[in-house]
Amino acid sequence: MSEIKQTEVATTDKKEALAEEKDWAAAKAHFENLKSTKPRPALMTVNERLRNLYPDSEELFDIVLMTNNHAQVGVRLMNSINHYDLTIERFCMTGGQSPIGYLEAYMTNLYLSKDSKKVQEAIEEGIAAAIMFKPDVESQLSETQLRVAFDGDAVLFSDESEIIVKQHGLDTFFEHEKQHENKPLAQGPLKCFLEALGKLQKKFYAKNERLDCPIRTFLVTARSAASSGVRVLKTLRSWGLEIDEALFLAGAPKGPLLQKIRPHIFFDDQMFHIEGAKEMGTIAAHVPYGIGQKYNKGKLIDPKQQK
Amino acid sequence: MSLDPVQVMKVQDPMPSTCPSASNGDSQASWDDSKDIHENVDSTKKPKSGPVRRTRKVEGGIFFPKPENAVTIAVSSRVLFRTEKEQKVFEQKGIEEYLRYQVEHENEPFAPGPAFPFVKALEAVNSRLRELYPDSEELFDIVLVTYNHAHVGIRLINTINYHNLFIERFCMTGGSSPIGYLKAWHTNLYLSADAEKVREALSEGIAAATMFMSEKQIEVSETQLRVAFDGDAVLFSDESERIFKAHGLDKFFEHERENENRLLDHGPLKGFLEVLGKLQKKFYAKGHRLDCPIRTYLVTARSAASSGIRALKTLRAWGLEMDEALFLAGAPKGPMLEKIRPHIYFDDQMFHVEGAAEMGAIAAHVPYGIAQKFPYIKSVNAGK
Repeated sequence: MSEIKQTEVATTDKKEALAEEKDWAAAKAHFENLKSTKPRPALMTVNERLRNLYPDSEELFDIVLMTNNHAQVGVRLMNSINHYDLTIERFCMTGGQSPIGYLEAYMTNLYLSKDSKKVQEAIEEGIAAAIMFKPDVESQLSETQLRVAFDGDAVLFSDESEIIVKQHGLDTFFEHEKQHENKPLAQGPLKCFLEALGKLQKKFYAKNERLDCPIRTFLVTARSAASSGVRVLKTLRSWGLEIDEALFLAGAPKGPLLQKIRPHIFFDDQMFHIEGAKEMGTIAAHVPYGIGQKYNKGKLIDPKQQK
Repeated sequence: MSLDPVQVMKVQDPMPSTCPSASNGDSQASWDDSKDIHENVDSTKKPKSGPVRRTRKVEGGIFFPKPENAVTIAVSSRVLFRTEKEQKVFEQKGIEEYLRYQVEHENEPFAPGPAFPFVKALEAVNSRLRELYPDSEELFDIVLVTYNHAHVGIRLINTINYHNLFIERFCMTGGSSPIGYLKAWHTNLYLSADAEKVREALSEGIAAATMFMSEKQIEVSETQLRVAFDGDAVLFSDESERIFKAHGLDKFFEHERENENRLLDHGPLKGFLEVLGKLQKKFYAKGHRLDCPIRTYLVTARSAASSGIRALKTLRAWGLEMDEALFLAGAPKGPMLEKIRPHIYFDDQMFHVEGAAEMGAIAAHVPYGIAQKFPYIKSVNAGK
């Protein structure tokens, strides 16, 4: 059985805050303050449920800490990990080298980082990756169900349709989608991750736990349902992938709906949507892929004006 | 075959042929493509004449207003279309069989349901609004909010295109409650076939009503949206209803006369009447009062002289106008509604909803207030 692995940067900015402190005692005091807010990570819950149903299977979530840090920082990281009761036993401390080679060696299904260059490199190598952002407001997340939300174009699917909208407008886009309704879209950078999630979901369905499944997937797309939705649904079906909830927004802002969904992570290719999600308390991850990177709020970014 | 969609559609107004002929060439090609896939499916349904693929132009007009600016109407798939057969499959054979059935019959459009004429009329109003105010986002926006799984999405989209509707916003919740999403969509009105969900929505402060499919359906206008409201426990709170039920008619009249100038508290559908009024004023501002495509009706069991003043003064104080007001003093509402032919009629008492349905008027039940504690049993006289 192939192992399903996942890479994650642990306690994101808390780690960064600590790294700046020289005083170990002060750091410890900081820990004590945070002790009262120890949320239970969703991936751990899913792993527990999987082990209950399939005690001998290796198909679980595996978290690897990938960091540019030197091995000296390792102790502090391990202490943090133990403090939060996380199960992260695999470390890759590259001491300044690029982690991309190691990602492949670990057969990574998803790489999360705050460094956009590394994420872009990973995507070019065909590894699902995204840049994480912390939301502006706190929100309560489920501890019993892992909720993952995806944008459609340029995340699950390629950016071919996005190109048509940006260059030829909506009407041409709708025409094009209707004509090619039965031609599946090409896959995008996060398709494989959805696939991996789907595989685990099916294990729960097989044991009759569909209604109580601890993994739930959401499609939150700016597409219009009647004019361009069929191609998306048919593509997912042709890939044999299911998605639990599908929201076609036809251009409505994603923020309020994501606030209701409360995903543990939301993937989108456009910073405009990431910002909107962040403002309303959603943990968003930017996928720097496709033509969306050249536009900001629908307007072409002038490279000369870019800071 | 329990239902022939063609037959049902004959009862309603004939479909205006507004599909642009330019798209026919394209649509033929895509239908042929899907037909090949269609023929490989092993099933015994009779082939339909191809669905009309409409290509509606969306540039040069506002078709995707921001939810907070538009009047958002959320409908469930069961009230927009007739899905009794599929419901039965779900109830009798479980979800997997239901999904399989839906996928198999994907290219068969559903027949129109009770909310269908209402949605069509909303689109007619939208076209008129766009003509007069091309840059305004104050339009009707229809969102399909359904319990259904994404698998059923394709059939729903095919049906929407077949009937030439413009519903681009979907919320397919795959089994989890859609109520949370209603607020996020700034929903002004939620229509569903499920009384539980409607009650939940009402308790969240969202105007909502349950719709039922009736056997008989009278023809309704395609150019003018007509909405009829009951008074107590729909537009107004149920305070007067309570007095009437607890102390009888005389006490009720006395109370109303004494409190003539004290406003009634608002009911669950007051907000919806308000947004309708806002849109109506936009037509009046451009000199279209006489041929305004929105018309509102008050159809109340109240008695005019004895208890009518309070109702009218309350509406006036809220700044709301009502085009027509019918005080029935207990007379049956059915025949009146048959004459009015509303696209939807809101009432809190099942007695009146059933009565309306019997005469073919489209009625929706608002499960709010004291009347819900007095369930209507058809065989018994729901006497005063």
